[in-house]
Amino acid sequence: MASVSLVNICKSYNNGFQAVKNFNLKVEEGEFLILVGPSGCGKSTTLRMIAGLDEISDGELWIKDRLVNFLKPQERNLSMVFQNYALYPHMTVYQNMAFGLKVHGIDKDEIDKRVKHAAEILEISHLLDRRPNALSGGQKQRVAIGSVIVRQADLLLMDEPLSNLDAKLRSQMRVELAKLHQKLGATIIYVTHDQVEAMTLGTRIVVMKDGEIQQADKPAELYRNPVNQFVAGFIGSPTMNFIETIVYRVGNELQLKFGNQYIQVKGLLAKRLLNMDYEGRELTVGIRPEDFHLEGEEGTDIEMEIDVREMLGAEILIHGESEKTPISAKLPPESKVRAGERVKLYADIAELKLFDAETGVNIFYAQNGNGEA
Amino acid sequence: MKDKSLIKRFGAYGYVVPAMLVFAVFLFYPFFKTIYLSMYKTNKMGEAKLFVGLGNYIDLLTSKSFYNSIAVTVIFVLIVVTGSMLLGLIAAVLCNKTFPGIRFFSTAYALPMAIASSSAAMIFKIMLHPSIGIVNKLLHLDINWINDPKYALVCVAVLTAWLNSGINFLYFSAGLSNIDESIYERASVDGANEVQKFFQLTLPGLSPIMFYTLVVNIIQAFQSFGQVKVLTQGGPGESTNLIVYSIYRDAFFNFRFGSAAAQSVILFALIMCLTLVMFKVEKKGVQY
Repeated sequence: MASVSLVNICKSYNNGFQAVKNFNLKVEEGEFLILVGPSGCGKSTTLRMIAGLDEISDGELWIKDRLVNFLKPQERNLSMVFQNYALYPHMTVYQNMAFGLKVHGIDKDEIDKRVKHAAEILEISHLLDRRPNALSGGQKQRVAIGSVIVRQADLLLMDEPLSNLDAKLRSQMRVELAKLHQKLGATIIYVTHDQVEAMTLGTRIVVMKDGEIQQADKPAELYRNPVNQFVAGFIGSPTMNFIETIVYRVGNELQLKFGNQYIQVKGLLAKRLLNMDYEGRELTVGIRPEDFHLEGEEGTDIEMEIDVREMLGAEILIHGESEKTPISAKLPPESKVRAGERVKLYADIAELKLFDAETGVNIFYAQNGNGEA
Repeated sequence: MKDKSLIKRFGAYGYVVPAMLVFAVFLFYPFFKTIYLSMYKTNKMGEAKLFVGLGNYIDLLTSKSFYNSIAVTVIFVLIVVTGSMLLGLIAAVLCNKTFPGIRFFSTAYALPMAIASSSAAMIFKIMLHPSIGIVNKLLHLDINWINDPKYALVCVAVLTAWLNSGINFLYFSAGLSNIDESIYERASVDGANEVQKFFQLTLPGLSPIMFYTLVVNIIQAFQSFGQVKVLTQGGPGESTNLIVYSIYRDAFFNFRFGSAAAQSVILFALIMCLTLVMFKVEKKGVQY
């Protein structure tokens, strides 16, 4: 097991493009850390810099208290699963898994023991004599993970290992990976663009955008208290609803107006908004689809027209518009709503996220949580 | 109705006729004519005059000169194939990375392909000249490269290897670009060094194209002619009398077309057998 520290890590290219900007992060021993973000956000580049496959332009990379900036990949004692698995096409599954050990000059009996043990864990013992072209996507993926396990390296890196699998296999492998992490207790850094993978696998998630860390936090915390509108929109499925409003004062209460509708805010929340001088200013209100209900307190409701109703068995998803703002809501399966209907949805005010319309920052981020991003 | 169905049945063959005509005139006719001639003694015009059956073959198989020719050819083929494949492979591996000026180097390595063997032989003749040649000057030697039986065959073989390395460079470059870059990255992370990567990933990855290149190179080497004609004319003595040059000499110097035809048939049989054997072995040798 190893801890990894990235100190002011930057990656810039000759044409001036900066793929990663001032990346600071400490990955603790045994952590399952997820780097997540949209395509081109620099997450794979960061991983490749840790692996030693891409040069670090600036900053320091420490693995297990050793500065490794100038060490070759083979000297960093880590192993990696690639997006396309990168299996050696001319070798059998056994040889593929044994390769990393063989080049390290490990004893034949030891190699045999480790490969067979890993094959048992991954249930691929019957495939050991096959070549990669005779394997299915899921089997290839297991072989790639097997090759990583046998190395018993300090650090496991995984670059979107599930992205080539179909949905069913992906969810199955997700569970397998989680189990594997518990069993091995290894430090894993895992790159994905799939927020479901990130939420289910990670002990900590780093959300990235344009080469910068947006927020690094535990999955539940990230969901409950996103630092900004980008993180709020990226994490959660269906995505959070964002309604652009203007804050009006009516007596002691505030109305967050959009079009001809408004959401009423009273008490402490109203007071805090007034203290922060938001009267008359624009605020983006974020409401998760599950925080809409068909019943609730007067003044917290918005009216929407349902365009599509999706019955998912355990819940119903409705999608539509309210004052030209797209809205999605998650309702209980017994809800009697139909496409084409107008319906009143009551927002759970306690769960409202409020973002500054100009900066996109969650204005109550520091008050709501640890705020230590 | 009957006409229509005839066109329907045989019309498609019409498309093959032009190609078949060319093949017939330039390939099939000479091929069968050669077999026919190989069983005759001919006059100076190359016309078959006296049927001798396998007489020409028996003469050849009892002739020392023919065995020398075969031996020289085999040594020549070994040197050429090894040399040209190694040169092509090394050049292709070197050019498989991107660096400034890569296009210049790629072109330079592929260029021998575009040079006629006789012009290359002319250039080599000057370079290898005992008194004014650059080779002797650079190496501070005084060797008569082309006229010494010890070196003549090696010189012709090296020239041929260089000439053939151009196309091999292209074959191997194509083969290398088919190898997935990510397996090298994985190997780096797995801890493999450059030598291990070359022998355990690159060479096995090239095995399909390697086999094809080997077959083409062997056939090509067996058929080398121009460089011998210009550089050594089969000499000194018979030290560079490759089988194709021997055929040429028998036919157009000695006017023994029958014997030349018999040698051609033997050369054909030799190359065919070798190719068949290689295709048999391929299934075991090619890695995936």
